[in-house]
Amino acid sequence: MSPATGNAPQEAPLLPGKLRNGRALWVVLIIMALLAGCALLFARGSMRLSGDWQRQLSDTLTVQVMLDEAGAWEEATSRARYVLGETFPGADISIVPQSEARALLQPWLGNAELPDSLPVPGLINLTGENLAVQKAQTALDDAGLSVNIDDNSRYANQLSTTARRLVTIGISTLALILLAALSVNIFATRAGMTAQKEIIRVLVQVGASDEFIAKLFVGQAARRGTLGAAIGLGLSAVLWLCLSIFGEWGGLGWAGFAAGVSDVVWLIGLGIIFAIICAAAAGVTATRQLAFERKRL
Amino acid sequence: MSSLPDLVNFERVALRYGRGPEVLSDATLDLPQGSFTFLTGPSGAGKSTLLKLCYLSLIPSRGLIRMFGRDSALLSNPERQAIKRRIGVVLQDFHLIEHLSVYENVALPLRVSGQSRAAYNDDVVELLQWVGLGHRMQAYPPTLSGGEKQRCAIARAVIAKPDLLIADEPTGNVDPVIGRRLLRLFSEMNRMGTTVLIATHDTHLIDELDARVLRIEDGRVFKGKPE
Repeated sequence: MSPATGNAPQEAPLLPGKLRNGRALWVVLIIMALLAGCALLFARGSMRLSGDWQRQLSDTLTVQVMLDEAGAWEEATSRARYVLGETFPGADISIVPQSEARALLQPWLGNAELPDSLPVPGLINLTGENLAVQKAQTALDDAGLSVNIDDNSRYANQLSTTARRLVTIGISTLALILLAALSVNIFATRAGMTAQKEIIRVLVQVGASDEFIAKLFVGQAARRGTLGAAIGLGLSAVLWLCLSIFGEWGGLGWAGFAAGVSDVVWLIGLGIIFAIICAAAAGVTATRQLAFERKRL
Repeated sequence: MSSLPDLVNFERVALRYGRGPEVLSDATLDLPQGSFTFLTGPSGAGKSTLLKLCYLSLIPSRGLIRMFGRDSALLSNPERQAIKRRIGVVLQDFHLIEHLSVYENVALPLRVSGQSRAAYNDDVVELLQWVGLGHRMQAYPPTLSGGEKQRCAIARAVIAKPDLLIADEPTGNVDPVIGRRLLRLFSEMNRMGTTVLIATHDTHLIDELDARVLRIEDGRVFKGKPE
């Protein structure tokens, strides 16, 4: 409908929609959002994986039954299993077969044939809740067995440290990407204001306030940020999904790293933050630039 | 008319661009509320500069400018913008926004002041028809002739019914018929209370109305037509 009918179409945007170099800016923002999404999913996956590993390790004990002679292997490991069963009734207890225990020595001894008389320690794995090392040690000592008990705490601590580092790397990368997005938007707003200086001049002439003009750039940047985030973060989610389905994650097992429903919520949150950063950068830059131009008069 | 307060008052105003010579020197003038004033003078005399000072686009190098009774040097930014909204400006190079239609360009001051489209639509349409652009409402500035751009710029300047209308050669690009029609528009606005200041070379235009005339010579402002 024409304006003459009184039912005029919506007001046209005061800033032109298409910017010079606009496509390049879109590509940069989408790539940044994609990288930010990957960094977030990496950090979240690292946290989850670390939690899984620690949970698994905290519920296990390995008991080494030391022997004086090889012939006592069967009797000593059975007795130790019995004592552990009495001490931790709910635990899952399994004896590592003697052949497998001997095979574990191979990295140190090479392919040399082990003499049958070598008293290879008996190995017993326990899995269950509340497996206290001290309690097991006392019970086995009382039964006259010489044992070493490993609760995997050293390994768990190393894993935990590694996982913490991975999370730190992920979050730092995310922070750097968001900082870069802020800088890109500051630069884009300045460039946009230079390109639109004639329009700004007209708006100032007809009495537009700095806030009114800044809002135009904020709106433009927010739209750009929202759409860029939607595309970039959507791509990161698809990429992560593909890696979850087809990737092996270097033998680590993908269950921990794979994206879940909660990650989608985090990605949406990141998208909102991304758009806010774009809008805020544009708002602050436009306001400061207008004040600067006024002082230059 | 002389009993009314001055809307614009210049006292020994000077302006130089950068380190160049003074374009205006000791310019003293007043525009009483409700007055109709022509500003004339040779090219390069400083007419456009004086107009820019009047619509607060420049800050003087020295001297005092009072706008609507306020010292312009002491205005805060919101006050300055509020005063600008009371001034309609028509410039020689039109300053139309190219990606907006004629209708949108004319409606701009009302839109900036926060009015809704429904509130201003009829006024804009009526004014565009009055200045002869009723059939070009949806056209874009690059497709307009010089005269049409001129009329569009004038319509934008007067749409918000400003207290002060400043025009720089407003009839320079239009034919005599349209020129007289625009002058009638300015005259009509003046009768309704708008103070009008028009810079022009056109002595015929000056002769059409019984209005005050100021002339600029060598950067100074004098009363009366040139000899």
